[in-house]
Amino acid sequence: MVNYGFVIDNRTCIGCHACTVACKSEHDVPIGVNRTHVKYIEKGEYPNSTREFSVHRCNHCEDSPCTTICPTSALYPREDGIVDFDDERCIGCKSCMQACPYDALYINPNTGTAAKCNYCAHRIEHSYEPACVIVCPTESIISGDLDDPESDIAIRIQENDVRVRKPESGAKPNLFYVKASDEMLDPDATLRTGTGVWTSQEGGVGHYAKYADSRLAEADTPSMIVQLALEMKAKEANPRDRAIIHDVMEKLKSEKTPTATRTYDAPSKGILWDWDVAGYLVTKSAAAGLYILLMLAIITDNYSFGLTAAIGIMASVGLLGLTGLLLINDLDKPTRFIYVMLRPNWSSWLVRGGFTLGGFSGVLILHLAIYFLSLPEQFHVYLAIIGIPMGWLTGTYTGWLFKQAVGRVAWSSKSNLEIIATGTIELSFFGGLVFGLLLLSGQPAQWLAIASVVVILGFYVGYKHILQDLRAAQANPLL
Amino acid sequence: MAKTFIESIAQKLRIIPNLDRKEPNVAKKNLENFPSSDNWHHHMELDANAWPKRVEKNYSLVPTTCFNCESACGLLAYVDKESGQVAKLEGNPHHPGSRGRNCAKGPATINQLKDTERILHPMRRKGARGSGEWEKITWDEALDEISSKIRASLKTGAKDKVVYHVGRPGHEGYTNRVLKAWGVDGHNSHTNICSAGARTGYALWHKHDRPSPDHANAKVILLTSSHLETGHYFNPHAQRILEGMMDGAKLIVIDPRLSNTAAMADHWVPTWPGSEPALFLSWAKMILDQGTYDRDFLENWVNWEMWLDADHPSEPKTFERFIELLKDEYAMYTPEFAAEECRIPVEQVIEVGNIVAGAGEALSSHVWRSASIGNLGGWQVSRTLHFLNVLTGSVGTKGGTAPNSWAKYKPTLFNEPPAPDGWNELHFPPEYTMSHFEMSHILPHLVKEGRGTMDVYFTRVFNPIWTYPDGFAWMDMLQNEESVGCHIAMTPTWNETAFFADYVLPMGHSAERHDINSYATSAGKWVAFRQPVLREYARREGREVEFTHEVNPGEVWEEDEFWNELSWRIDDGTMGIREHFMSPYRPGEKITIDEYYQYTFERVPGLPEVAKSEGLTELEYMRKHGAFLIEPATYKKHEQEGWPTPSGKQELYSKTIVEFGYPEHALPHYRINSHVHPSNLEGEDEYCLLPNFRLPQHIHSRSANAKWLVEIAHKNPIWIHPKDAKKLGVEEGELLKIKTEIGWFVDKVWVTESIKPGVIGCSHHIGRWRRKQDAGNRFMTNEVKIEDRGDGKMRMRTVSGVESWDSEDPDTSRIWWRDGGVHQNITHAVQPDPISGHHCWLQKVWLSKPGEDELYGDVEVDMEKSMAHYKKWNEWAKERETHPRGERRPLWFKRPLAPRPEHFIMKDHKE
Repeated sequence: MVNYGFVIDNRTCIGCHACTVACKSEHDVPIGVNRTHVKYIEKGEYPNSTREFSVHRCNHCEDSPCTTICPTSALYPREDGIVDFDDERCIGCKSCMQACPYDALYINPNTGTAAKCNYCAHRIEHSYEPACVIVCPTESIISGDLDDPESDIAIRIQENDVRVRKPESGAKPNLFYVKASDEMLDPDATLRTGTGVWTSQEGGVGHYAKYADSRLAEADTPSMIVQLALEMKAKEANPRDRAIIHDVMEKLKSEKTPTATRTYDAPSKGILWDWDVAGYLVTKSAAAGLYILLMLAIITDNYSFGLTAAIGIMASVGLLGLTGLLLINDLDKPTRFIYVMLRPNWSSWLVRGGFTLGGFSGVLILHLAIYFLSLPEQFHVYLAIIGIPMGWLTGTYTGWLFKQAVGRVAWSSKSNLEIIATGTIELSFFGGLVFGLLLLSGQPAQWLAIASVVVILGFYVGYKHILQDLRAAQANPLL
Repeated sequence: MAKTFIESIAQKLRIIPNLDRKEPNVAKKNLENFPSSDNWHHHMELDANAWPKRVEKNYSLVPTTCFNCESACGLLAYVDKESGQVAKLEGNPHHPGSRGRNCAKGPATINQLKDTERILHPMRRKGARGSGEWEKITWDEALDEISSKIRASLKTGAKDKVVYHVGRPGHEGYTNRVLKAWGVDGHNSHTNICSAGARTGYALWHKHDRPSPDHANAKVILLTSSHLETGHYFNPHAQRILEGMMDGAKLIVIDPRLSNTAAMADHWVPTWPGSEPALFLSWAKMILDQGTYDRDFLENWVNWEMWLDADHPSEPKTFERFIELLKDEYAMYTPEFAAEECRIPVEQVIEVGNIVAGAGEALSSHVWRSASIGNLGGWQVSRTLHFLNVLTGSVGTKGGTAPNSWAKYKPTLFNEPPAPDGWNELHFPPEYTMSHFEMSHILPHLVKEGRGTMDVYFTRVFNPIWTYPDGFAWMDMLQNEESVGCHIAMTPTWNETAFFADYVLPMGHSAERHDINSYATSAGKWVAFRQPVLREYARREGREVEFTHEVNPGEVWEEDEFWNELSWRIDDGTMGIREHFMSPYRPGEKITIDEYYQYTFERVPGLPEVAKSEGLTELEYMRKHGAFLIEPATYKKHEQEGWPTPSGKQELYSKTIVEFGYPEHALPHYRINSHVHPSNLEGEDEYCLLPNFRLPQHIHSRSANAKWLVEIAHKNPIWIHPKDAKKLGVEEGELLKIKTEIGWFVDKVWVTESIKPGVIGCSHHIGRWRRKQDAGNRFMTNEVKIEDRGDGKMRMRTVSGVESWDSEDPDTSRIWWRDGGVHQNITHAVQPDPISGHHCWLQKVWLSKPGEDELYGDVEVDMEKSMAHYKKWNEWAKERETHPRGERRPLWFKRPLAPRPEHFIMKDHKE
């Protein structure tokens, strides 16, 4: 069986961008996003300064994290090594963009679906080379069968020292560079500032564009400053922000003094999961936590399942509903949300989580049925035996989804214990706030008012904290 | 991929659409680059974006050539049979120069074809010149009105008042023939700001005025250029430079800036601008001292005896004595001397010199613009560079450097009218005796001095207001109806010069016009055919087309047919012009474009036989394949042809330059310091601005509507070394005011280790603009306001950067950049070199922080200073103006559109 891969030969690559444009032409890629692009870095001091070029695109990994996480198998590995995609299956959840360590994917603004280099599969079908391979003036992009020792690509690999990006990702990339420096391969070796020698990113691209304007208005949370500083939008920011940014940049410089500079890069796609994802994490935790605390109270005979409890269950249902709405709102193809259930890729935690949410909703409905049909209260306890674990999983599964996002090291490096702890704490916190409010239901109005304020404040602070962490995890350049 | 049970059921129940796909063909296969040309009319591809759904698209592949630089690389246009439109362009595997590959500008051609802001119809101005008010007219009206103006001018007997000024020719000989038919010495070009400096240096040696390096076979590749990223002929050269390097050749790049090319070099030699001749002569001295010169070549092919006769008449005329005297002549060019002039370490001079000295016959060297056009005396750069090829015996050898004429095909045209009966002194003023090509960059200044006017002036893919130095002088001239009676802009897109025209005529891009191309991209000789692809497609489908504008977008036409029609109409039957446009196959009838090319291709050596073997006419062959290899790599042609110089040899000693008043340059020397030589700068407060470096993605005025190129490069900051930045107290992104000798501009700073301290750089591809009343190119143009402040000062201010807009193309609303850079060229003083006439691009500048009301993008020019500066430089030419035997210029030198021989002698010459 053939195993397609790429070699990029940096001994001959002249950084001319013919590949970037040929690919744009072949797939009519919108401006702002690229299936392949060239990064430039410069290092050294005059007259020993030098510039290097690095071509990036999908690495057609053997163990592709994007195909693992894609809930609908819109992204799928082929027998011939190509990682292909079918955009009619895509729901625009952007998990793939979080999972890919190589920033290979983008949301196509024309369709709202994910796209990337697919090795020109439509050309391979008829035995033609990918568009980038034929255009390159110096034949620096080599395609072919990695497993055939007599193929050009295999010989190129045998005869030269080759390197890959981020071997530690575990994705087993099939894109090999002949002659690549450490500074070129390490995304943190150079700062991504949004400004290059010939370019200046002043607007969002693809999915990011949706948030660009609102984000530019906010400039006061520490994590946002970090991000802004890294993206150098700060040049247009107000003097106070500039001062903060200057400090952050100084700190960054001293922590990790990049000796190389990034002088050309594709525009940043920025933050992909933002307020709606943070929002649904809050509402989901609240729904789960509220249920668990309520059921624990009932199981331990500290509470009986009366109207208040029913209201609590309904509140949980409402919060789950809100979760669902926020989830769907985040999708770039919201009308296809049902594909998560009906075209499931079982290996994806987005699917597992989706079904868990579904199962948990079912449990909640059953509780309400037990109540409204006046069935024995004991049934609640029996139901809670599966309900509580299901609720707990509802509140914590996102950690495992995030862990599948191999591209975001802050998430993928979390241990199972950390995931369990974080999820449990979150559902206890948010659930606890609502549960507390529920417990005070019989109290006088002013108690309720104060309690409501506490709950709202608590939610706000918690939400902001989650949002900050979410953004920080996505702030670092992948390439 | 295996489908889950749930999905199968859901699809069956029609809850979700059926997305079952046919399995892809994952078998092992050999991958091809291109389909065979026998199948080009029936090529089927699957729609890239519908995949994995299989949607078949049927294409007719039509070859043409790219128009985005002079390399004319092959392109294959994919004509979608369903829409009848071009969908994309790939390379042409049959093109011997580009071999199926292209730079970024090739595939970006589709952006230029589909530009929503293209000019689609002929336009005529309504208000005053430059007011921005236009009305659509018909081609018929355009032809009638313009032809009558030309007729009126020709009838006055003037031979120099109808002018065609070309930026990008992209063709061989077509328009010169037309001008001859009209009887005017009316060809002007952009060469004077491009390769003119290098040309004079080469021409002094052997008349051939450009080099053709054989990089693929070289041992040492010596570039005073950046041909891995731009220039003539970027793509074909880059291919072969890397081939050579992968075979072991060493790449040496001479450039004060770390270009992408220098970044790939084994040796980056950052010389102080203009000092390159010192470096080359120090290497010449090393070669002489080491004795590694090619005795055979020097002894037999160089005019050393003439030198001995002239300068050492009493010496024995032996080769050995010649060598000894030569060593004396060049004794001063020690490595230490070079190191000091160039401001590089002496160790580097010696190390790299040894590499060059050891190259033998395989030294491929190249200079086109760069130092030869940047500096006063820049022609010394090419003259001394070629000296190295002469010494190593690598002239015209395998792996060496040949004259470009050896690899360039000059077509035989169906009719050659007589040479013009006049001499245009606005193009070849008497004081510039050795200029190569016209003194184009001082045209407005000559006109202002009262040296001439133009009745009809065509600017063709030529945008001097923007690309040229001192653009306000052009704006001034073009707005003056006394100086320029009628201005016609022939262009595919709007541009800054077209805004000031009387007529704007849309001419087709690479897939929309006819041209013949032949360029020296390597040691072989080829000819290629640029054709309107939809016309060829129509023919393949059995439809005949009379004029290209019938198939092009809107009414976009092409010059070839326009010239034919226009010329026919100029002639009222008495002027003898029509005779030159009559078909060679149907006597008395107007020639068609197909006949023109059939005639020309019939005469391409070897083509008739090959076409016949495929059962095709020559024209059919070229329509089908797009290109033809006339001659494979052929070396040492001088052994049959000799050298076309007065001595028949390589002129080490130039009697010509002595006769024309510059005896100190009899031999190649470094006798002229650049105008930006450190001795000409006021210490460390004056800097050298390097404004003429180019980018891989852009091509002067044509790429502004290529969105995929503009998103890669849209701003042009000032490159400055950290040491200089610190001295000036500026950090990255901050503003700097760059003051030239006639004006200033404000730009952002880019602090970088990639430039020589004391030199600052700014790319002159960026900074396009339009005023509120102008249209076009909104991916790249800033909106500016131009103000005449009185007292001779012109001010330009950026009103807004690049902005998104709504159109049929969704991408126009997705523009993620706002910064359109700064227009620096307009602040450059014109600086005509007295000997080669070339414009010396580098500018002496003073740097400071801008004042409060001096904003990013601001530009100011003092028109009085610009005229004074021109006069100062012009005086230098006049001071030494010499006309031996009354000759305007050396008779054996090339001159485009050469008039009758008697006009080469000054009229008031007394014997």
